[in-house]
Amino acid sequence: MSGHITKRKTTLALVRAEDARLPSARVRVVLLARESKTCREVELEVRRRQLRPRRATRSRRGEEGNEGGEGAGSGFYVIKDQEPRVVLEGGDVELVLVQGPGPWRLTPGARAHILGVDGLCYCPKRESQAAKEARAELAAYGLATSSDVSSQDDPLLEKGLVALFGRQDKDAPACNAQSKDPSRLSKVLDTIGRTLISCASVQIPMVLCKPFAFLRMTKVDAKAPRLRCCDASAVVSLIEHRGQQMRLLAAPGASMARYGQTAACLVFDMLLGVIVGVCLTLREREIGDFLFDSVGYQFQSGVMRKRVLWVLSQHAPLGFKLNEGLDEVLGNTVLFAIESWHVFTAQLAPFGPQLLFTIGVLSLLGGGLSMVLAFACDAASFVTLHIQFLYNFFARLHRFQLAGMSTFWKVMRGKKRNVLRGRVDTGDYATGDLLFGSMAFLVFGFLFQTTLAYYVMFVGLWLLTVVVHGLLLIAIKMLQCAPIYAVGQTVVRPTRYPRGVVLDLCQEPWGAALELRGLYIGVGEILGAWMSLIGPFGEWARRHDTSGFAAAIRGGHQISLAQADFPRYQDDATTL
Amino acid sequence: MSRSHGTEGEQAASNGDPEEVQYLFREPGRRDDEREDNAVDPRVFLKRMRIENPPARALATLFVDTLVVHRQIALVLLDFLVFLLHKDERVTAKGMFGIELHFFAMFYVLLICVVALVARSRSKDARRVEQGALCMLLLATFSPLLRTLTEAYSSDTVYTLVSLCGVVHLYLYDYQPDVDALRFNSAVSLNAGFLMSLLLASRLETSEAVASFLLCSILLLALVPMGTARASFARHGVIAVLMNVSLFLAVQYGLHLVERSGLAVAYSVVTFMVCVVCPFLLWILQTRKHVVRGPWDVAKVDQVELD
Repeated sequence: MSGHITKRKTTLALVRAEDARLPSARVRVVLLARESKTCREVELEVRRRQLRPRRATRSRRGEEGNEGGEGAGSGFYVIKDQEPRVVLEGGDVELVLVQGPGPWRLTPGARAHILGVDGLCYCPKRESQAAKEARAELAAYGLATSSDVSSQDDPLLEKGLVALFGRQDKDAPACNAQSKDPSRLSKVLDTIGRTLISCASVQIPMVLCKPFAFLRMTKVDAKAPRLRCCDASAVVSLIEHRGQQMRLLAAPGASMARYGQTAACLVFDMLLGVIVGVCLTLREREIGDFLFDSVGYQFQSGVMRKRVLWVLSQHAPLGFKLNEGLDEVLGNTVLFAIESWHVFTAQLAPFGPQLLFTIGVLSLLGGGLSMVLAFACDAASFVTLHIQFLYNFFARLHRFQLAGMSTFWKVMRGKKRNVLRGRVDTGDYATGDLLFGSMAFLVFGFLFQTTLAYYVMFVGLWLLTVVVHGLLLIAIKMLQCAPIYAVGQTVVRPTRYPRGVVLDLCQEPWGAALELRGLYIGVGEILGAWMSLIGPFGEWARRHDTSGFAAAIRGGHQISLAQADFPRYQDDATTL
Repeated sequence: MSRSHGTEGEQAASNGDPEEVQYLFREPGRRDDEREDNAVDPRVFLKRMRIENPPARALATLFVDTLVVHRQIALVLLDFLVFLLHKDERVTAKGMFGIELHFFAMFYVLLICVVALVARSRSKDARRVEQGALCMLLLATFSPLLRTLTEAYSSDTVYTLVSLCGVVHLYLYDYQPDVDALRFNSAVSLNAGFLMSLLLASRLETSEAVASFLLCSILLLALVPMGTARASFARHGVIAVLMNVSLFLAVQYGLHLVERSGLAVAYSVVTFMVCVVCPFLLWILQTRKHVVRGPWDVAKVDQVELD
């Protein structure tokens, strides 16, 4: 197939773009001439206008059938040439690529109008009957008139080109709509949202919600000893998130996509919450027993005691040479902490089924599955509080021992650290200092293995807790940004999210023609993009990267999770 | 034997006659930053060589100098002997403690008297007594902990560590300490000695034995060397010989008491090597030395005339 190339310049008018809803876009067209091996690129601005056929021709609109898709409401795109114009000389067009929203397609009628497109020329040289019919059709849709649009909007109209549409699509995005007075429902939703956010943002003393962090604070950090409730608990953070969702649904200027995404996620979450809530309310005892036997078993007093006694045994686990006296002291301390915590939690155990029932009711009332997961997150933190305490204690002890060994090793060599210069200098020690240094080094060195054994044990338990906590937070985040709206739109209308256009030559009876094919984002791609968020969320949940983890474990530094916060709404059209 | 001396830089000894003795020195730099610590005025170089070297390098002097090494070896072995006595329960902790307190008292009185002959400083005396009391308090507090430090380790491991610490102590010991300072120049050596004693103490049965033994170790490894370095009369040849002979006999008696005859024989051999054979060998080497690098170099210098 070949096209007759002329140097005439004109505007390419495309009709029947399927299902594209963006108001305007820029399209890049690359034209390649085979013979002359030249390539030209042109940027085209596309403006979309509503197609509103006149009464007389509505029946004809129904006959168009499947040429482009839907009837009223479908859009037509007009390309406006941009300066400078591009001209190809000689040869056949081998490949033409158009990048931009679409799809784009030429109807036979439109092609009849094309006398030349920067470098590409089509037959016929005279208008055929088909061309006349197409022209009449365009006139019926207002394309052939220029009365609706001023010449300032389209400078090319003066050249007798295709006119623009004059009326907006009724399905145009809400952001194009003028602000309206909020409805009663919007006010109620907004009030509920504000209330939830206010309740969740109540400040509480840090010592109550994060005692260990409070103890670790230095004087510099002491300026902010208060935390918001939502920063301390996943359930409260979820309540704040719900409040924001309510406010977003009530916002007058929200974009359609964001509105739809919020509503779809909320509904989906609630549906799942209803299913889980029904299970929890009807079978709270069985579920409670199952949780106690499976998860709670690992943290039972007897099981923890066995673990500690294993370390206390004389069989020297992992080859560690344990000091008997220190081993006994640390072991008894650990056992005391575990027993005390279990005595306390045992008082709450009878209320477990009632608690599960309450969570089930909350999830039925709108909390959703996220509420259940957030509660599980907080419950995991509460149940493992004694593990966190013991881990903090042994991490500090480990860090202290490493620092002590480093310091007294310098004393052994007659050195000391010069803090001002940041280096190790020769130290001037008296006999008593050297005696004490030797003694301390020996004590730190030979007791190191004992504390290391306990540290390794509790680091393992704490990492397990962190992993479980992190998985729950990731699950909550994934649930909050599930692309329900996008998937639903794509299932109902596969051409909803265009991501490109292919312009190809095809052979028509009257000669060569351009056919533009659109490329769309499918359900698989959307779900794949959603699942790929697990990686970034995992990074968010961790505080450290891999090398940081190893250094933190080796040096006895704190390993913890980032605070639970949920995705904040941006001003983008979609959240994906 | 012909002689020659260098002017700037080192003289190439390889080109000269092997019998020829070369005296090397470096002229001092003209500016302060070019002056080296070992710079020697060439006008007095040979004179210093003649004056300083010969008296210090006589065979008798070499014998006396090696007594310092023997003294330290004997003290280390005495320390080990005290450990064995405690372990075999041949002495009681209280008895040893009493003896050690007497020694400590004698040491401090001697020190104060020696210091008083030169300069009297009440604050320093008080500080020394305070340090001593602090040491004893530390030992009393930590002895129960020290006793159980190496329970989980085998005896072989501990004795290997003890041997290593002893070797490090002897190797790095400062055998020519600064007599003006009442502290040790080689902290590593002293710490190695303390480590050795602490490791040995961790194998004893009772806390009192641990405290008593450690007190004795401080006396032997810290205060005795400090006192002999401080007291000028201790450096006198006859006094030094008498002291070392006493130490030798004491160690031999102790080894016999704890039935360690092998160790006694080894000690005797080492003493003979250190105090007799090695000085004699060194003295012979001095006469055969043909490149003398400065006044500090050990060599036998004949009478030479100044230029």
